[in-house]
Amino acid sequence: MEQLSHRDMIDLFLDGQLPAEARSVFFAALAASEELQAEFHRAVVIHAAAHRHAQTLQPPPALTASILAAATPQVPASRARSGWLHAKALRTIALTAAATVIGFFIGRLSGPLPSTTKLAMQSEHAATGNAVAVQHTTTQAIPTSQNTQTAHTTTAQPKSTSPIALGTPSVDEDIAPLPNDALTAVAVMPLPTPALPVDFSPASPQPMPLPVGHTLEQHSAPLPLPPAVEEPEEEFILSIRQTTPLVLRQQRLLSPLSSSPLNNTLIAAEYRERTVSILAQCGYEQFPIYELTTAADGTPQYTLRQLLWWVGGGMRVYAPRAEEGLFRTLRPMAGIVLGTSQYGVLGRGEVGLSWEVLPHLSVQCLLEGMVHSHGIGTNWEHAEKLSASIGLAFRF
Amino acid sequence: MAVNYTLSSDRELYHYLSMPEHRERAFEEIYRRYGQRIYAYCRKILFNTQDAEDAFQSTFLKFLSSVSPDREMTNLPAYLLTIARTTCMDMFAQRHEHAELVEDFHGRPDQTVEANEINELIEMALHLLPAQWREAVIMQLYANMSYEEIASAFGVPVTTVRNWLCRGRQRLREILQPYFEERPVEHPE
Repeated sequence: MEQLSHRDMIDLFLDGQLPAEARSVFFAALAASEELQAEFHRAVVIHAAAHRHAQTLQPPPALTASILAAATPQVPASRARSGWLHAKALRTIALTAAATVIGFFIGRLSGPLPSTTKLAMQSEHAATGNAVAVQHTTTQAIPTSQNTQTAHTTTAQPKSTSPIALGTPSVDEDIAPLPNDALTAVAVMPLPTPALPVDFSPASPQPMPLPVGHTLEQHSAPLPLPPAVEEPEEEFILSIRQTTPLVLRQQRLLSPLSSSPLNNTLIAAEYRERTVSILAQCGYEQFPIYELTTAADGTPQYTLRQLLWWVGGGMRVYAPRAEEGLFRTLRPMAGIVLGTSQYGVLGRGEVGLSWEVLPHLSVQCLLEGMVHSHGIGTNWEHAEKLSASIGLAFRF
Repeated sequence: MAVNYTLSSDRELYHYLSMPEHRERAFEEIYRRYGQRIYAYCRKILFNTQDAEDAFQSTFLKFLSSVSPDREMTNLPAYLLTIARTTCMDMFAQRHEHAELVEDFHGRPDQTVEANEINELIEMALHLLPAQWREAVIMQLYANMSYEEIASAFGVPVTTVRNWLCRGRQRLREILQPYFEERPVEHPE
């Protein structure tokens, strides 16, 4: 037997590997040397700490379940159908196709032209008083006694384009909610004649004083329009997004999230006509799927595939642009894409926001779900992935 | 006849894996016996929880894929450890090691500060060991593998493993000596 040092004996003793004949030597040395005792204590502490820590390292229950599921009996090969005819692949395609059709009709039937477009068209006529009338009709929803008085005064000029003179609706009309196309309706209506008599007698109430430095002409001049929100009829959009997987799941295997979320990039080219667009999209994603094949002896073979290249086409629907407020530049959107990868076919659904920060630049934030059906030979499986993405879109 | 999988030997369980009617239960029992040890090994070798879970899952899938009725299984834990080791090494090669080292140093929230401290120190000290010593020490301390199982996984004689373990743990103690000098020696529970 080789010669053991006392330090070696510490480790062998703790492992139960110290030969019986060496134990008495070890104990004697331990009793005689304080230095050896200290080292023995350190060894015990490290040993115990490591073992305690090891006990806390338990595989997550979901991972255990997915691994155990891998041993469940396989679908008999005779029942399996190959290629594109496989039921699971067909179901994926059918679901995504149905969603595409539904989304298309929702987009097409989402209503007439948005009023913002009409307002933009009206802005060409902004020099006329009619456009000014639109402004005041919409901004003075509830008349006060003051503006009623002002109406008395200013309607003394029959040709005046004063908005107050033009807009003399009854109280009921004025506080009633405006219909969707109220702006247009008011703009093309013939102007009403003054409803109230004009009275310049000294006994009549004094007209409202004009603000200092304002003349009557200035006050009755057409007010400037706010910048009209122009939405182009059609746009070409090129976007690039970075995605981060949130949940990944394979049919029978739960695959942990990829630890390199930066390797997920999507590029899309999109042609948008008002609120509906068609798009072509390609992606490079970490999608840890296991391809399942069956060996000659019937045992399943799993092959880990980490990277997925895919291309696809689909459509998106955008919410009509609001005239004002947050949703003037922030537009909810939803889309669907069908595609193919190097391992199979896929369907993607996405919902999110497009923030039009500049006239030709948007920021897109999306939540995306993806179903990928893949396989080799007669065995097909599918995997799902939920991810969040953010990117830039350039609009031309 | 009903099979009591809990009482079956590793060899019998491996044999059952080739039989469709026993496959699921036999695999469950093997997983119950060795899953935690393999998982602990993956966690300590890869330092990154997600990578470790990837490797752990791959290990058992590869194991399932490799089941053959012709194979005589003599040392199942060593066989699993060999697969895990190969998988971890492959993963190590694929990913950038330096970017993944820090995650587990933060410890686990369910442990005391002191336990976290010593565990983190041990983990950092393990990094300073030569690769083979470190691996052998991790297999022995965390995966609770015997000398024979470690030797089988490495394909080296048991005496070599014993030497690595003694040298590795002595080096570990030397590295951690300043920590022990700062605080009085405590006897473990």
